[in-house]
Amino acid sequence: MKGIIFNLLEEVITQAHGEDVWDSLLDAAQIAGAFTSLGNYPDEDLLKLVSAASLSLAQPPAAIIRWFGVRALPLLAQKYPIFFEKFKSTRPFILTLNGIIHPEVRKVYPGAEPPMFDFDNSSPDVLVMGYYSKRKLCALAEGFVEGAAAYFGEVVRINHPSCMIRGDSSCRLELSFLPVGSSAQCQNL
Amino acid sequence: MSESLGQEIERLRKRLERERRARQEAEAIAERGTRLLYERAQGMQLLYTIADASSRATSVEAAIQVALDALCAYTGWPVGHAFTVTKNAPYPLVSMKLWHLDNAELFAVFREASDNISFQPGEGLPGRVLASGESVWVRDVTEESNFPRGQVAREAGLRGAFAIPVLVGNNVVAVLEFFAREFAQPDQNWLDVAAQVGTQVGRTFEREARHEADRANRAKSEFLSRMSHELRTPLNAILGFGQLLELEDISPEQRDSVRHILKGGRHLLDLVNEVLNISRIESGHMHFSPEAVHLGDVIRETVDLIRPLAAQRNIPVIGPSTNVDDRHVLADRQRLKQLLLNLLSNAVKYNREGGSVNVECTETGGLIRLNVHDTGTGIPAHKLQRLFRPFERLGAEQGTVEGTGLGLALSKRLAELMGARIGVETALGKGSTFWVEFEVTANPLEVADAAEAPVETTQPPVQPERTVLYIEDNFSNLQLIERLFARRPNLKLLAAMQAGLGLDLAVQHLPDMLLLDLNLPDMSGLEVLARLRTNPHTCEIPVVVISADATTGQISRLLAAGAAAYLTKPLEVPKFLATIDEVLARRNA
Repeated sequence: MKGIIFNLLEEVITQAHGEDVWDSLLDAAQIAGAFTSLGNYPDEDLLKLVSAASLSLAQPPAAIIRWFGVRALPLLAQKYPIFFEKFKSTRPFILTLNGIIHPEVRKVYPGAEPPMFDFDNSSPDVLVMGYYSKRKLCALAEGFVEGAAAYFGEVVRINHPSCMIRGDSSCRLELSFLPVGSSAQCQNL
Repeated sequence: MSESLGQEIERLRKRLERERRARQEAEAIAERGTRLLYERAQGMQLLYTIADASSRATSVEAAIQVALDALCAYTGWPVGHAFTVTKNAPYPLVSMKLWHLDNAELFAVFREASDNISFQPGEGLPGRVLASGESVWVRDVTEESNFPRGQVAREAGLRGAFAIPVLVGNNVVAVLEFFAREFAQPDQNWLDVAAQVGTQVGRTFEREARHEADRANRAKSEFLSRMSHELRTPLNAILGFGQLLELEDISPEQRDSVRHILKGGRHLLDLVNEVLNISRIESGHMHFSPEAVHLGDVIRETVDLIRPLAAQRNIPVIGPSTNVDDRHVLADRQRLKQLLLNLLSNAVKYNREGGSVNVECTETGGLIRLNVHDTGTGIPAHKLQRLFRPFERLGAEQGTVEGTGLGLALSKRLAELMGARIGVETALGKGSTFWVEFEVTANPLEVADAAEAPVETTQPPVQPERTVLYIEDNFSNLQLIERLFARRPNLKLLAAMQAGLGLDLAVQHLPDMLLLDLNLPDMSGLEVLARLRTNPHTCEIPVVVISADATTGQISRLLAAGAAAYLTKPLEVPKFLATIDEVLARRNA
C-alpha cells in the first residue's frame, strides 16, 4: 500500500479527532508510523490501523474505511486539482479513473497497484462500476465515490449487489447520482 | 500537570522522531529514484551510441569494438573482449581478437591466453552464453569451476565477470565478455542494457549477411549474364552457317538435317536468352522502351507464332476476339510479345492432347486484362505460390515438358517492369487462366510502325566493286561473313583478327565499309571506332558493329560514337545483307 494512503488517513483522523488519537492508534496497532508518500508499506499496516480505529471509535471497520474515503476525497482534490477541475459532475469524473487518474498514479508512485474498474455506462440513470482489487477495499471505493459526489455538489445512491467480501468474485457497485437536496440512501454498507 | 506536560513533550518528541524518519526515508527513496533515472539515462545514452555506431559501422568488427568500449565506459570495468561463433567443431567459439583494455601491459597475459583459446558450447563463460543464449554473470571467476582461464585471470587481478550474447534472431553469433577487478554482484539493470546492446550489434551481423547475400546474388547474375553471352558466340556460328546451308542447293534429306540443326540451335538460343533476360532483370540492366502498343496486333502476331506448335498437339488456339482492335496499352512491344509468347507456349505445352487454348480480353475501369485459358490439369493450390519463382518447374516431374523453368518468372518480371500485373486462376482438372493486366492508353495519332522493307536475298543489286574490312578475332565468325560475301560478288572482303592490324589496313586500303566486332584482344571496339573517327583519312568510312552484346546501353553508346549500324549476333542473314546493302548505297549517294 502506497504511503500516500497512510498520509491521508493520518490527516483525516487528525482533522476529525486530533493528533493524540492518531498517536494512540499507532501505539495500539504497534506501528512506527513514519510514512512517506513515496514509500510502500505492508497492506496489513492499514488493516491494523483500521482495526484500532474501529475499536477506539466504536464503528465497524467497513464504516471506518468508507468514512475515511469520504473525508480523504476533498484532500485529494486539494492536492491534485488537475484531475478534478475539468468536471462539473461526479459521473464523468469517475469514468476517468482507469484511463487517466490511475495511469498518472503509476507514473508518480512506481510499484503502485491501484484497483481496476470496469464501467457499464449504457444507462443514463445508473453507472455500473465493477471493482477488482486483491485488497478488497470496496468500502474505500464507496467512500471515495461518495466524497466525490459531495465535492461536485451531488448525492450518490450506491447499490452493492455483489461483493468480494461476501464471497462474490468481484464487486458490483450501481451508482445513481442526484443533485443535492434529493433524498438519497446508501445501502449495503 | 508536570506529568501531563512531560507526557505532552514525550508525544511531541515521538511525533518529531516520526517526521524525521519519514523525511529520511523519503530522501532515501528520492535518492534511489534519482540514481535509477541516472543509470537509465546512461543506459539510453549507451544504447544510442551503440545503435548509431552500429548503423554507421562499415564492418562487424568496428561495431563490436564500439560496443566493447562503450560497455566498459558504462560499467567502469577495465576489460572487454569478443568471441565469434564459427563453424569449427567441436570448439566453435573463437576469439575475434577485439579488446577493450584499460591497461594493455597488465592484461597482456590474460589477453594472449584468451586469444588462443576456443570453447565448445557450455564450456567457460562464453560457452555458457552460447549454450543458453542468455547473459551469464560470475561473481568471482577465480572461484568459478567452469572457467578455464581462472589462473591467468587471478594473475591479472580479475574477479567479477559477465558475458552477453550477440543475437541474430535466436542465434548467438558472437559473445561479449567483460571483467572487473572486484567481485561483482549481478546488476539487473546492466544485464538489461547489455542484452539490448547484444541485439543492436546483432543487427550489424544481419546487415553484413544481407550484403553478402546481395553480393552473391549480383555475382550470380553477372555470371549468368557472362555465361549466356559466351554461349551465344558459338551459337552464332551454328545458326549462321546453318542458315547459309539452307540457302544452298542441297538434297531434301540434307535440308531436313539443316532444319533440325537450326531448330535445335534456335531452341538453345531461346534458353540462353531467357537466362540472360532473367539475369539482366535481376541485376537491373534490363532496358525498356515503352510505347503505345496495339494490343490486337500483338496478340494476333503471337498467336500466329504459337499456332504451329499448337497444331502439332492438335490444340486449336481460339481468339482473340475483336474487342481489342482499337485498344492500346503502354508497353515495350518486344517484351510484351515475349511475355504473351511465354504464356501461350505454356498454355500449349501444359495442355492435354486435343485440348484448346482460348485468348480473350476483358476490360474494366481503364484496365484491360488479357486472359490465356488452357484446358490442362490445373495447378494445385499448394504449388501456386511457387509458380512465378525462377527455376521452379511445376510440371517437370512429369518429365514430358521442355523448358528452363524461367518462363513464368521472366514473364512476371517483364510484366512488373512494364507496370502490369500478372496472375493465375486455376481449377484442378479443368484448366488454368493466366492473365496480364495493363492500363489502357490512348491511341497514338500516328502509328509509328515503319513497315520493314521486303528483304531481297537472292537477287543482289548490281553495283561497282567495293572493299569491306572486317575486324574480328573469332575465326568462325570471319568464315561466316566470308561465305555471306560470296552472295555479293561485287564485295571484296579484307579481314583483320586484331584491332591494330585492322586500323593499319583501314588506312592503307580505305575500304568502303568496315565491319567491327567489339570484343577484340588488343583494344575495345569502341576505341577502334574512336580512332577511325579521329583520323581524317578514315573518318568517313561507315562502320557496322557486329556484336553479341545486345544491351540497349551498348547499342546506343556505339551508335552515338558514330557507328552506322549495329547488328547483334547471332546474325540474321537477310537483315545483315540488307544492312550492308543499305549502308553502301548511302555511301554511294
